[in-house]
Amino acid sequence: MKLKKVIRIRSVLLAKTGLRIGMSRDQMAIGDLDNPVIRNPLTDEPYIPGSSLKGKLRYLLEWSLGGDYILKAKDNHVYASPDPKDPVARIFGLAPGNDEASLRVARERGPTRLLVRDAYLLEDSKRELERTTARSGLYTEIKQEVFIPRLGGYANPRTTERVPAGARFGVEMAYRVLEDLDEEYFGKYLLRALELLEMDGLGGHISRGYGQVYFLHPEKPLEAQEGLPLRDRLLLEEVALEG
Amino acid sequence: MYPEGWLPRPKVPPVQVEDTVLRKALKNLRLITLETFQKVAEKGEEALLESPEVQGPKAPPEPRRLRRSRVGIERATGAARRGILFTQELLFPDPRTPYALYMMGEPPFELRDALAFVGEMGFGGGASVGLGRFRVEGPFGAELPEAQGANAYATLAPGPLEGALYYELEPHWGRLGGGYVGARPFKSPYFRTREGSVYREAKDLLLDTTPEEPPEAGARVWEFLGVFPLGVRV
Repeated sequence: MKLKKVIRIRSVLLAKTGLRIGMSRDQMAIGDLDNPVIRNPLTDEPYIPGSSLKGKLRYLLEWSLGGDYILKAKDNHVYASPDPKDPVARIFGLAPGNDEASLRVARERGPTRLLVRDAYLLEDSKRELERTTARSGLYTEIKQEVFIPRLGGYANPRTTERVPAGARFGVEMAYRVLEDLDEEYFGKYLLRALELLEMDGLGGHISRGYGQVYFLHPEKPLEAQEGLPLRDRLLLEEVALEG
Repeated sequence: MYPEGWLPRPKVPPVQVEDTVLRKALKNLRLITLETFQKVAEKGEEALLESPEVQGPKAPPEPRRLRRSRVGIERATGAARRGILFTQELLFPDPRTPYALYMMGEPPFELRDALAFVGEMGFGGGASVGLGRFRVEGPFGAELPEAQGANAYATLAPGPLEGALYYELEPHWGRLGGGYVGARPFKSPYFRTREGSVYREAKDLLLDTTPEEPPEAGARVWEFLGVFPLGVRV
């Protein structure tokens, strides 16, 4: 087993609806937002952590494969397959148990194939969002929602911060190909997980409309891409490392 | 690796200061500019008293810290799993402050390409979730400051305790084993000297870190502590 090539996946992630990836915080000021979004501490711009994107892809793939991934994950954090060819563990990685058998499987499986970068706002999208600054948060919208007590009917408001629909983030992933099987898994499982993400959503509150996302090719005109198959909306570059 | 234009303060014989404010400013100073390093290497710590790092507004760049909360997801419900909510502290160096990696001699391979690949793949923990990326610029030639007529060496890297003249110790938990890593990779605590420690001679770069129970009979484990020497006068 050796690193034969790296497939670099680049795309633009378009938030079709408001996107909310929340953060926790140590303290809260009077009049502060109830639910802020995660921001880059240097620039204060909202971004999508690689862990959120990767975690959601893994979760969707596990659900699409079903069975042990869901049932046996009840007892542990994730399902640790004893099969070194297990696609989820191979693509997304798995910390091995501290016993000989698990380590043997982990060695045979090799390292995590997929690296997902943090996704930052694109410059042109940032300029568009600057127009919202006057009436909302910095690059975000402040959405007021209400909880209605079933008896009484009066509104109980809460504020939620989210990145408005139309925002675009630069997405980059790297996929390591160590064996021919990894190349097969790329098309069969990773692209499938990305398609599932478009059908599902990213971040919080997706059951009430938040977080619909769509991948766009970074070098093709945006308007010409609606309806194209996912593979045509990704910029795939192969970096050969052999020789 | 240090912020560009900064080096670790060499641990030459300390200067006695009575003024409390000045003493505290000196105590907390870990990085100094190349110009100040040159003066300290030649004249000793007295040169620090007049330096802009102690007297003026010049402050070493500090890496900022980011706390990122992460959750484990309950597969059955899709919600955050109870007990798997954790916060990681990440170093978030300001991209406006480049870091400089110094190299001496000819490397056995194309170092720039190797570093660029490490930066592309991510360095340190959490690389598969987007952490640890960096971009490589250069290589650039660098004239590092050294004292004329040096009679000792300050190190830019952690060094072995043996042969250290003026030094500060740091305890280190080494994850050891290499090819010996088995079901339980062994860790061993040991002392090494911090960056900036001063040696009379740069030798004995191998530190014996064999654990009490060697991984196999007769085996020894050594860590290479490559002292990167810069001449100082003590």
